[in-house]
Amino acid sequence: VERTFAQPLLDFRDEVGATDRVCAVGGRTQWDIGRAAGAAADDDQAQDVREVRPPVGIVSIDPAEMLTRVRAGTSIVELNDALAAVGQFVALPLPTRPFAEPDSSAAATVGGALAIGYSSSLRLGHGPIRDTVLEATWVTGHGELVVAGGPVVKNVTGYDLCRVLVGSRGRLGLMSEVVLRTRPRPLARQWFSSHWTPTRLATTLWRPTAIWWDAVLCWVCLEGHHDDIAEQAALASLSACDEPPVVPGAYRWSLAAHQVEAWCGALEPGSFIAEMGVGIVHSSTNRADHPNASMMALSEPVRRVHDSLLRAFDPGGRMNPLVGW
Amino acid sequence: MKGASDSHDEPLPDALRRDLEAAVGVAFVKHSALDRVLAGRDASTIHGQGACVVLPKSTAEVQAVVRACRRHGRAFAPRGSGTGLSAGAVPCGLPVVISTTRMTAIRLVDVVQRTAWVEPGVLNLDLSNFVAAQGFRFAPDPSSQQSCSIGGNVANNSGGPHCLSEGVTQSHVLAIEVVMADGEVVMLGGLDPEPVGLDLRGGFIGSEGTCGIATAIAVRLVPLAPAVSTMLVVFDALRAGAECVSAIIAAGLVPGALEMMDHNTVVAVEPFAHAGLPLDCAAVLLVELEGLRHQVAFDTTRVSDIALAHGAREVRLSSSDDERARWWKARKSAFGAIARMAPDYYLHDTVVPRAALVGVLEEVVAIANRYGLQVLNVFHAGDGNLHPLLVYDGRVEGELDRVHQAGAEIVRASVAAGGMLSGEHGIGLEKRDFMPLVFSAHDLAAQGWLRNAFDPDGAANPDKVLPTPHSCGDVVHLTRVPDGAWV
Repeated sequence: VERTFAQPLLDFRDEVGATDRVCAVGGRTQWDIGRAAGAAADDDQAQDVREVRPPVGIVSIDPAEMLTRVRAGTSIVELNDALAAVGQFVALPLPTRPFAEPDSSAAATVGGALAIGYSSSLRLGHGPIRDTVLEATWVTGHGELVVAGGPVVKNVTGYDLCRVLVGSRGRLGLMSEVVLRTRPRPLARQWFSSHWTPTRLATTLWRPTAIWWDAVLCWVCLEGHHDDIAEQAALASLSACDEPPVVPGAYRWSLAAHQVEAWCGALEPGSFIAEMGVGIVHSSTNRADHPNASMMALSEPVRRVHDSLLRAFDPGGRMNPLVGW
Repeated sequence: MKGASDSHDEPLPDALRRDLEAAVGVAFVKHSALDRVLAGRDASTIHGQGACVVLPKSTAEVQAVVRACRRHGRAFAPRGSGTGLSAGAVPCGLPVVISTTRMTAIRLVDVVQRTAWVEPGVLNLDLSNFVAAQGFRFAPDPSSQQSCSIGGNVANNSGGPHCLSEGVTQSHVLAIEVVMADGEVVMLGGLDPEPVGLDLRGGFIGSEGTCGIATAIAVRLVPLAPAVSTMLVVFDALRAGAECVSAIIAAGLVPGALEMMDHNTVVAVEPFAHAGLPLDCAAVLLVELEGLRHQVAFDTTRVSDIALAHGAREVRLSSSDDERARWWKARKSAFGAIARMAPDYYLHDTVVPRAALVGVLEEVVAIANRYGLQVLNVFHAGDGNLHPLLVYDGRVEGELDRVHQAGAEIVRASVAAGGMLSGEHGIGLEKRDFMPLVFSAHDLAAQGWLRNAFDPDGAANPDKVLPTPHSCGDVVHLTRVPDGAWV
């Protein structure tokens, strides 16, 4: 098939070009994630990296298909506001990191969230971010627009490059437009607190949307029919609360879910939030004896596959070159 | 490494056979003519030839087999239960067929964290049955779930009726131990939710055996729902049924399953399943809602209201587990029942936007009429995943050719309506040459980069998924579907 692309995508492709080093700029809410220490804007290494801004705008919302086509530079808040009008939402996270400005989460973009690949803190119920992308259009290091997946909710036509793109930090190319899976907004949502252990809550409640734990209390998010929420809350003796605690943004670890309780024993109770049943720990303090996994943690054959993919999609190493894992 | 269209002087040279026997034991290297014929087939109409079939029992044995293949310059083709419908497991170019049917251990079940480690030969339904007593299931449920393997589900990113709300295999696999094409054993993904680096796990799932062989799989387990409501919705017009599907989804309802059977299917299955399906209907929808009781009751009323507003003649709510089981038997056994109509059938699998269901269904009927073929539609309507089923008699000269021509038109009609080639069966050999219908040369090159990153020599299941400039000379089309094929 000979594809035809909308003009903003062609313009973005031309802006990215095929020769020099470029990085995509979204809302800068997660700007330092994966960025090598010292690679600040005034460093020599960073000076020849040209900043480009992905196209912006909601192309379509189709509630009967449960999907939306959106340009990568679009604000997540704007997208979810538009989806709310048809009773739906996308499971994209707003950044949990400390913001330069109190309201800067509104600047977070679809493309930025997908490039970073961090899932929402409601992942237990809403699923991982990688499951939201049905189709992706991006500019590779060759300067060409490429499409993976398709605009349908179920699809096994060819290799699943969409999954590989999510969390690729722009290293396989710069996201231009995506088709995302949407979900119906629940009839009701309520947060609760509980002194029960996370395990007791997990084995008592039926598919909670979130169980957060800080070694002092648990917070539980339940969604669905309000009578079901009330019954579940009574079953687990939950106490309703207005808001969940603010998730500490300074540090984030990914652990196997069964390791979380023991691992958090080294953290000060109350200084962290662990997403139980998921394995993400957010903390205001570092655990210096447990640095986050780096590429060095991967086996040599896996790194070989990794490197081969990066070389194929971006032979010049020019896409988001200051960002890695 | 010899590719699929390269010739080998003999199917199984003694030196290769000896190395394979050293890897898995003499008893587990099968190379009789019958063994090779059986391993040359899946549930499609395409047939190939393997050098032999080996049956390793462990990751180490799979690794030893792959390494032996590499030493002898021979490709290999992974094989699960052989229930695939797109010829993904059909060997091209005399590869060594590596069957995972002896790797059937459920290694670990953690009901607190809702995960299980399984070997690739574990049958889909066996896992669900194994964890059912503890209140869990493995969500992907292909109609072949009694006989398809979880390794095959990973290879094909398989779906099933209950994937509408739960997602397909990709959403239920956390980590995969893989023997790659160079014989290295790697772990892709992990039990931690955000493993470092690119999501190679996601790239491997659905790669149809072209990126290596899964030897252990960590899957998510889904808790069984406390309340289930199953409805049979009867329509006098196919169009009304299809429009009802879109209306249900647009209303914010995501049933556990939303399946459609057209008139021809109902007529075929009812004498077989005795499910009480009305023989004079144009179509029925099977709608299953799962969850907590108040939500299920609320949604049941909403589905009923929407259905009646869209011209449903009748909305039946299952009154017993027995009635529900019979409805599902009718749906899942549809393809066995079709044997009463004609000796053979060819099943297509395309996916279209739900809004296009009506138009494409009408076009499918028109195409079948044009070719003088009878068509039945039984499919995952909630996902827009069509399964037009063309029944025919392979003994009639030229009939299969007409089936193939009609099938190609159905694929093109689906693509023209904004759809894709496959919703759940995969590309394999069957749809490989249709890939340029939906992907540009740049898109296909990018997919090739993924495959090459895993297997630069093309040693794993060669010539599948992506179009190649040469044909697979030893592959032939059968005139009929093998007995026992599932959908």
